[in-house]
Amino acid sequence: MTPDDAVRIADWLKFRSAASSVTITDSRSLSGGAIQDNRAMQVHFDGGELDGDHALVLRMSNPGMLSASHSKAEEFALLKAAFAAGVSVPQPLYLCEDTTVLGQPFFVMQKIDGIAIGAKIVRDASIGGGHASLLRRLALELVRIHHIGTDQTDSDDGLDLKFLGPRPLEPATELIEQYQSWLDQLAEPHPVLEWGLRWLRLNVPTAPATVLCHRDFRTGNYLVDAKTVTGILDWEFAGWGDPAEDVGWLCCRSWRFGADQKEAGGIGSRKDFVTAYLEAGGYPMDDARINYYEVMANIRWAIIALKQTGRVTSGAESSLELALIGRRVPEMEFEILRLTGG
Amino acid sequence: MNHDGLGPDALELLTLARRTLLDEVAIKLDGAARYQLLLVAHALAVAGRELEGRQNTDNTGADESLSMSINKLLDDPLTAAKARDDKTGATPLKWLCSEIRNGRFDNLKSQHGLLALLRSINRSTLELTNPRFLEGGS
Repeated sequence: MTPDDAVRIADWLKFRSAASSVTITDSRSLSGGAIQDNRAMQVHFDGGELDGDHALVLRMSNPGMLSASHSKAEEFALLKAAFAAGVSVPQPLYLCEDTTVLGQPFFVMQKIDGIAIGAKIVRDASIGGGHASLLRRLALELVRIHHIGTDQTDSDDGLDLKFLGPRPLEPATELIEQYQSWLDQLAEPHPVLEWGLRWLRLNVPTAPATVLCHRDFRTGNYLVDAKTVTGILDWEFAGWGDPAEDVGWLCCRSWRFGADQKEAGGIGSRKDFVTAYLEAGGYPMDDARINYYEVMANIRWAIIALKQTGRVTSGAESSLELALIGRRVPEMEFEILRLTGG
Repeated sequence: MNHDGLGPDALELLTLARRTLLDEVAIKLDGAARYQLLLVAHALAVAGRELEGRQNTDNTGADESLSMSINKLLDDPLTAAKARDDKTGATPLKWLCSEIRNGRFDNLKSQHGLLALLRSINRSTLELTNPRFLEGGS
């Protein structure tokens, strides 16, 4: 962030919060920004609705933003809906669609404490009140997410999710079409991914309901402190889907960070997670549907990884992290073959 | 060990550079700097394995072997002839993708051969990119 950026942000925050003055006392980039740029800021407000000192996060898109990512205005609406539904998320504060401030839209939310580093979370069995407790809390958070928008009057209190479009009757088929089109955008042939998509077409399950899916609900995308989950992050992909889609994504081997025997995000068994999800009032789950969406998760993650690494091979970016992501695709392909091999 | 009398060859240099980073530099770092360094060390390991794989493999022979395996899988004369006569530059892998998408392997019997071939390709690639994954690690 340049000094000029800081001045413009401070002016904008002053206007939005009706403060008499706003000072940004500290600012630093947060990690995990392959697609999104998150910046932590310490801000002092004199007067207005946020009078006092606040730790905030400013979120905007990186150039590597995926086509499936929602706009910042849409992500802000999703965050507001989640906050209103009691999901543990950072409180959304202000959205800025005026591109004269930072050159692109962004929003500001309260900063939440906790760690999100997947490898640390799976290694530390005491974190979040212990892995068993953490697993139950995550299940509860997912139930709350899946109940967002079940009341169609949500738009009346400002939770307008119309941009998500109508709920698909067969959510899996819609996703297969989307991922097939992503695959077709890649220059090289990928027969394992092609086979995975074919297998998905041949085995489409019936969804018990079409709910709001987070679509990136996984270890590494929630904040946790010593006692519990403090925030579910990264709402940019959320959309209508089968509730099992989020469970399949959570169980994808990549998000177990080496704790492979703990299928639910490297912190517990799939069975225990599903039991906790159902006890918390979740939608019906069955192993076949979760397996199906775990296959889909591996395909989706593989294609995203190929698209991301393609930004390096095309010369658009020079990130070593993105360059290496493509080398992980054979791991996802291994899982696709294992899960579809009968 | 010697490479034209100039010291270690490219692969040995990569290995040495990686060991130096891990043993002498990484221990002095923490946080984001340590993460970046481990990323670099990982990239060197991958590059080293791929370089070694290329040194030990006859690429032309491997490509021909793959083409033969795919042709065997697409063993009806019409498809094989189409693949052979293709003027669009489509590779055997592209033909395979096209046949998968068109439902050629929808029945269980034909899937056996397809999955065996895909597993074999996948295993060869994983041996270069992340052999620990095949041993059950990540």
